[in-house]
Amino acid sequence: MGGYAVFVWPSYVLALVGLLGILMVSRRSLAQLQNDLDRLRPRREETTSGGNDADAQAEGEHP
Amino acid sequence: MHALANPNRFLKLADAIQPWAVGICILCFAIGLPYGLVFSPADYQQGDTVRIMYIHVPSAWMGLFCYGVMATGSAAYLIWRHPVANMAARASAPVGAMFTALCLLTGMLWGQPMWGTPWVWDARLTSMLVLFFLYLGYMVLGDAFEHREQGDKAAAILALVGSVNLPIIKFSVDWWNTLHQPSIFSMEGVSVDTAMLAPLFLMVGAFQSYYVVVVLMRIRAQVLQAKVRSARLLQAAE
Amino acid sequence: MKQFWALIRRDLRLSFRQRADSLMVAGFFAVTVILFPFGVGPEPGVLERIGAGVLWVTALLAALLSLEHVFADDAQDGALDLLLSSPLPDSVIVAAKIVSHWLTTGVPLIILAPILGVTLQMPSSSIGPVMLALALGTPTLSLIGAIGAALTLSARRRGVLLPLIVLPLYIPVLIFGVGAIDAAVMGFDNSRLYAVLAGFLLISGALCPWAAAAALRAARL
Repeated sequence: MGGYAVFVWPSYVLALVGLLGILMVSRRSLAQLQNDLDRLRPRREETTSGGNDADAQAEGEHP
Repeated sequence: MHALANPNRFLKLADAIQPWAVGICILCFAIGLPYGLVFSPADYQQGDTVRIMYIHVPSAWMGLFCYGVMATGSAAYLIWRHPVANMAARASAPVGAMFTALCLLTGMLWGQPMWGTPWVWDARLTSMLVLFFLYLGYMVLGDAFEHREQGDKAAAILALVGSVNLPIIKFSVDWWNTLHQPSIFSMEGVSVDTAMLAPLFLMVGAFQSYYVVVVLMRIRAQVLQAKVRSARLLQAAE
Repeated sequence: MKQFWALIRRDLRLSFRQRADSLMVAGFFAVTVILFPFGVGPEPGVLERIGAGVLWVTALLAALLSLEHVFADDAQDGALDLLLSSPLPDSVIVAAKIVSHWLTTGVPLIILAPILGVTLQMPSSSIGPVMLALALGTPTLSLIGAIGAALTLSARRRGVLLPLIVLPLYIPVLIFGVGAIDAAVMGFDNSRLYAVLAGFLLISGALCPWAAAAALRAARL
């Protein structure tokens, strides 16, 4: 790469680290929260985005 | 937009969007990366270092874009109490901070071969550095309160104050830069060959779709967090 | 309007009784500025070149030191809640507190600066520009800082959080404040730079009390 490889490749590696890092952190916290919720409230026919009307009301006011 | 204020309804929409975002992201990376790294031409003046641009410029764009989302979401939250807008703002902050940091670091890696020194107080890089600190302040402030709602409101106000300040800071840094630096060091002069536009747009597309994937994930996490909190409160009350 | 001045008088009376605060800020300013010759060496060229910058950065830090107390003291003993529930508009109350803050911390800096400028071997032609630039800039520092103080009022680790939030917002004032002094010293026309500083002051004067009041309301919920 005309001797510039030592600058170009680290840039792409850094991008990979940053993107994967944030992705993994986000996925992990999502999984953990789902875990916590499952332990606190045994899953009925609840999907991650569903919920009964009481839930919907509550979430609408207290994010 | 007000129809989406209900988090559960928003999450249903998110479920529908997510697979598309993932697909577009993978596609853009699959085409953009080899294109940028190998198949696109090297620059006449800068040689292969121009390939850093395919990371640096999209990161810079995303750094600003995420702050825009933060500011807009914060405004919607403060004016209309739109809960999803606030969640989008909070979700975007770490992603935006990461992109800004990536922009700064790749800027340094680009600067060393281009200018012979890793850091230069170029107007754009300096503004990006300040932007990074604005992100940091927002994230730390949001988490510094006992009640999450206090943090949400404080951070939202800070995001708006920051967005008013950002153009003022850019203006000041531009002026300061012309005072202290010959224009050789400006990044403004990089002209982009049309053959380079395609990988550039592909990488921007890749980063944008990545953003959608991650932010939707983080919003979902915030909704779950609220449910966990209320479930815990219920449990404690029993 | 009368209540506005009454509030300022009250704050001034309170801070006069606790003179230590004002003296502390002025003392910090003086000591820190004096550190620089020890740090960079007393060669005339170097000090003169960085003098305006040193004065300004130290002024920023000194303003930051005292910002914590703008609302915290009153919040602690409940006086803030009392004030905010009065019929007087929140932004007027905040504006009064900002004015008192500036009078007790900004003004001493303006007065001290020429003397400290001498220790930095700044030319005598810089005294006027230094005082004018600080006179235009320090109120802006108080105004912007008040937003930070209001936002962090009930936050954890307020001491470290406040600089992180406020210092990036101070950068424009810093750049033009130093620019105005340097331009004057080098003999260039700096009226436009004073105009920019005055512009910052006017914009902050209009927006900051309102934003800080909103932040106070957000913190109380």
